[in-house]
Amino acid sequence: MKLTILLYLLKVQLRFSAWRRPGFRKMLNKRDYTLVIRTADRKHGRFFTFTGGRIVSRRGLHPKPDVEMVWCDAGTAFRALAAGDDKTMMQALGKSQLQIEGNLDHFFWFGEVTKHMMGKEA
Amino acid sequence: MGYFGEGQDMAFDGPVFPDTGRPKEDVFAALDEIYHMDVDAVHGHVMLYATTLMEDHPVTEVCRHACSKFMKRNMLVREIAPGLQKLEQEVKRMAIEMLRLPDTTRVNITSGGSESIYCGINAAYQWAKDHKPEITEPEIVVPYSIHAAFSKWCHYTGIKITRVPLGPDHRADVKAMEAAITPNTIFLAGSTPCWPYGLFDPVEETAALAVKHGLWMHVDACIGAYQATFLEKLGVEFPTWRIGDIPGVCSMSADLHKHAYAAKPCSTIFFRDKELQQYHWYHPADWPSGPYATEALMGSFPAGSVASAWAVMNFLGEDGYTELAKKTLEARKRYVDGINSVDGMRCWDTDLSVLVFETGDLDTLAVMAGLFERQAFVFPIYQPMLIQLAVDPVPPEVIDTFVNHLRQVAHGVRTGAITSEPLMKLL
Repeated sequence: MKLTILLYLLKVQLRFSAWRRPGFRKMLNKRDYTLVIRTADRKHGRFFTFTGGRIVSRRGLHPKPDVEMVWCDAGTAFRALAAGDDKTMMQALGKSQLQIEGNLDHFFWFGEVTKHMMGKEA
Repeated sequence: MGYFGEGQDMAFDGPVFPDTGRPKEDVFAALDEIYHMDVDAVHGHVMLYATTLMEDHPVTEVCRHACSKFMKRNMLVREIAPGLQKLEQEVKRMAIEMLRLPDTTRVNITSGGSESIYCGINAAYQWAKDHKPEITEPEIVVPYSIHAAFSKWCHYTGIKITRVPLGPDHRADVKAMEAAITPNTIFLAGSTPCWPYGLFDPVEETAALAVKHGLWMHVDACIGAYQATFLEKLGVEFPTWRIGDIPGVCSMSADLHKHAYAAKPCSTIFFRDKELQQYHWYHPADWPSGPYATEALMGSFPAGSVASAWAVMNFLGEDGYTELAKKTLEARKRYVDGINSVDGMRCWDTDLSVLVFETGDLDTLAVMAGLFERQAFVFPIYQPMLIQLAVDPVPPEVIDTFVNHLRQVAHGVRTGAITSEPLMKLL
């Protein structure tokens, strides 16, 4: 449940930032793709589709994602995503708690997007 | 900004450029110190195709001598320098002979795999202007595992790149590639082998697809060509990979500074024939100095690396390269046996000298961090998490050192003494 709420809040925050911050909107406009964040058992998940700077996000999976962040379980996903930093994400990859399916470049780009959203951009 | 994507700005206390020059002995001493900052020649492991591990091999001495001798000469003006012209022509001819390519094959020397790849895509783009003039927004279709240089060139030039998911065997999925072809597609490619997994793509089938759809086909043999050709002599079998052996292959990239043991930067781009090579050449003359006829993307380009290729090719010859290929096979077996003997580690079955291995239940990045601390600079592969290294024909002592380090690191990671933390500033 915590993961589901966190992913919903991520959607809200992404859309709010896109609405309020032209710089962030400009960044989103650079790339069109669909990213899914889900657990390996597919019980928890949400997709984020970025098109022309707009964001569509719904609970559940997507039939044709460009990239999927597949977490070993909801608890691990919640802790790593809540930490909200690259290091935690990379460490989860190293421990095979997180696997990336699809285009890896979108995963790294999404990391940049979330950093920008949280005002951590370089 | 380096391979891992993280810039490391140094903090300087004051100006670095000296007001007064230093005695050359001081400069040499300082250079020596800098040189040894990176790696110990015997007990360290730089897996960067730098052949650093072959520091003590006579081939390195030959390479260094040739490179220094021609260091200040510029291949750009080879037409007026008979010596440089001889070097260039003979290196090109030897490259064709080494790879057993037909006499009709044409070759250009470049600064490395990336430039060779750029030249292949560019030639295809120019070719498409003639053969597919209706295409205004060209696209290329490649396997997901193909080198990042393909994406770079497409980014620079506005060509659309479609990376097609691999088959379950981590090789190109030719059917999926066909499905990805659009009316704007001009180019297909495959690797022999690919960098991430060390596997040969089915380039013969991909080339058949290119013929069927009237497309340019490129084989990226940057890693493999100058090694596979000699391994084949020793009875190792590979899927067909040569430009001359596969109908429909128009260009092929192959690095001299990898397993041809030349100094960096040095690579080759082959075209099936003179007609296709015409799409490579561009000699702009729209400035006061007249035609600027360059070999590839570079203007000035270093004669030192070309001279090193010439020298090493002459020093080793067919026998020498075959012997090094044999030693590479032995080294590879020793690595695989050694790595597999470490609890939890498992090498994948790769096709050539690129090795990748899983770390079982251990944190892969922590294992990498531990190896880095011991000067074993391996690469990460993220899908799935693997550690990659490149095999050079190094002495057993070097391999055993690596395996011992890996064993120590595995134990350290298991007990929690080694974590991925030191690596995080790089990734």
